[in-house]
Amino acid sequence: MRNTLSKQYFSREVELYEPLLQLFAERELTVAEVPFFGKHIDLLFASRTLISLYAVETKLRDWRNAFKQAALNQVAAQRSYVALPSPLALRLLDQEKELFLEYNVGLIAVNKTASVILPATRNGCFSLRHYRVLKETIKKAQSKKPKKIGVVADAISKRTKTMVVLQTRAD
Amino acid sequence: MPFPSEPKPWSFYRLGPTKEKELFKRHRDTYDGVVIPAHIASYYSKFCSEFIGTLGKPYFIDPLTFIFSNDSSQIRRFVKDKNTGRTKRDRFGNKKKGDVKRSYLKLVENEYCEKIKEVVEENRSLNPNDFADSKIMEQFVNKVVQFQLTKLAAIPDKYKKYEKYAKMSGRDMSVSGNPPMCLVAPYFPITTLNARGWYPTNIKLIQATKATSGTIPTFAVVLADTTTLAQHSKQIAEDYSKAGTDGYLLWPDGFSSDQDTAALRIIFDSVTEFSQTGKPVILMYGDAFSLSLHYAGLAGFACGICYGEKKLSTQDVDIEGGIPPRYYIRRLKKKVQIETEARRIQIDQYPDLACTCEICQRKPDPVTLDDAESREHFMLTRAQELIELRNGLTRQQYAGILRDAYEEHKNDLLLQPIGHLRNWADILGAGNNE
Repeated sequence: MRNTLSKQYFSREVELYEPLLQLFAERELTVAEVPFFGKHIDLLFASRTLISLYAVETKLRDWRNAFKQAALNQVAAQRSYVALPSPLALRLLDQEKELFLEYNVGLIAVNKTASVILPATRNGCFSLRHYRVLKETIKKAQSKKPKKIGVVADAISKRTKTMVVLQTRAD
Repeated sequence: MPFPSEPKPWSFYRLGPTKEKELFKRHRDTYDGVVIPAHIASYYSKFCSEFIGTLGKPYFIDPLTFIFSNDSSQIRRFVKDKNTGRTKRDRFGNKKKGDVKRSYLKLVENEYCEKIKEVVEENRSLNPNDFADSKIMEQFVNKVVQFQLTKLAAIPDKYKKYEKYAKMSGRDMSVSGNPPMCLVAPYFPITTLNARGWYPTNIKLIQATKATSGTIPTFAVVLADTTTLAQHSKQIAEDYSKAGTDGYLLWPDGFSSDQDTAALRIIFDSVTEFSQTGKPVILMYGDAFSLSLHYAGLAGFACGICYGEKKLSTQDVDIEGGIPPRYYIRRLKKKVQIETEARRIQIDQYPDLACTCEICQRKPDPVTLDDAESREHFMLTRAQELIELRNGLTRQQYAGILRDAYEEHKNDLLLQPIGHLRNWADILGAGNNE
């Protein structure tokens, strides 16, 4: 797998989004900056029925922060991932694999493409009540017109964290 | 009402807009005094005077005069969408502002002087030149002082009948006169000590307040960022002392105790400088780091009940929904959000983080606490922390407690960030061996 990943430089977290959208292309709904009990989930992927939710936290360097947030997302999403630039993700796979397994947090390496290098699994932290809260939030988003990634980038740069439905296939 | 009778450090809770009256009453033994923001004292004057009168605790009113020197939009309300409750935005995505907030309007129209009213009507910021005329300054100080002296000093007549019962039970409840423990001189932010800033005006305001305060101590607010404090603490302490202040209310603007040790050191040293004048120093907004500042000579600190432990004076807070309930972990000196963090961390799995307060004994799993219970837990736990210091915990012992907690949990990712524990311990450890 390592050989298939060529080097890619990322200067902003939002640059990781496009490969992630391709990775989760079979999920019909992609929502960015989803508000959840005072925090925001970076990316949430779901089918139209919203039965299964996949939460992804992206970071360029501070993987510990992303890991914690991903662990918190497990309260409401069935699968929770941390997505990082591939050199960092691969290093963590070598050095911190046990930690990710212990907490059932998945790991995604992002380069020009994104790939799951450690699958997320369900654990006992999932709460149906929290899942329903999150589901209701993204239900409201379903009626919104999907936007391009640039909209999220603008929102992040302006520090106005507004929930955005993204086009599931990058242009 | 005199200063708190308890040994230092004193804990003051700031009365907020949320429903806290019952918490203040139920746990009145867990804190030493109350801070009432001027706009709340003005807008809810009947409630506040009843509340303060029956509480029987030292209090003071924060006159909040700095707000008029900020951008004039700061005292204007955010325009909300009636259906969603969210703030409306203009076509550029900026939040929409409406009229002057009702609470400030009452303060401006009924309590403070004509100059303030004029500035608000002109939709501009107050500046030092507005006080160039000494008569205007005198009028302003008189109004602000009178407001503090009289607004909450007497409780309504209907409560007079309870005075004798209060006396019989050994409680102090004065219906005829319940003045604040101190008067707070009108204040504005210090960014420079030169004549163009607010500094010379602040000094004159302290002098004028002192001249009218009678027997009640005058306190001066030192509202300055860490850069200014680092350069000028000693000078400010001396100048304000000469102006006649009887104590300092220190507000390190925008300071957060999770900053690096350089910023922590500035605050620690500033508290030391101010306290060396022999006058009490009270932090206007303080979190658990205030407990460490006790070893720098801090006399007390104020905060909301489990919120409002830091503040940037220019921050225009837009409340969209309530503050999610948070649980204070005593050993880690931090709060975690109950709905997400506490649920995921499963605090009850960490024996050393277990709390023995009456709330947690009844409900050991923090996830089951509601908002009121989490605040009660905060009050009870903070009281225990204060008792620990009052009982003579040494600086080195306290540093050791902080360092041990850090070492034990530094690798537990779900409990992060806890680097503040190491930094606070470093600050304490770097000093003498008191």
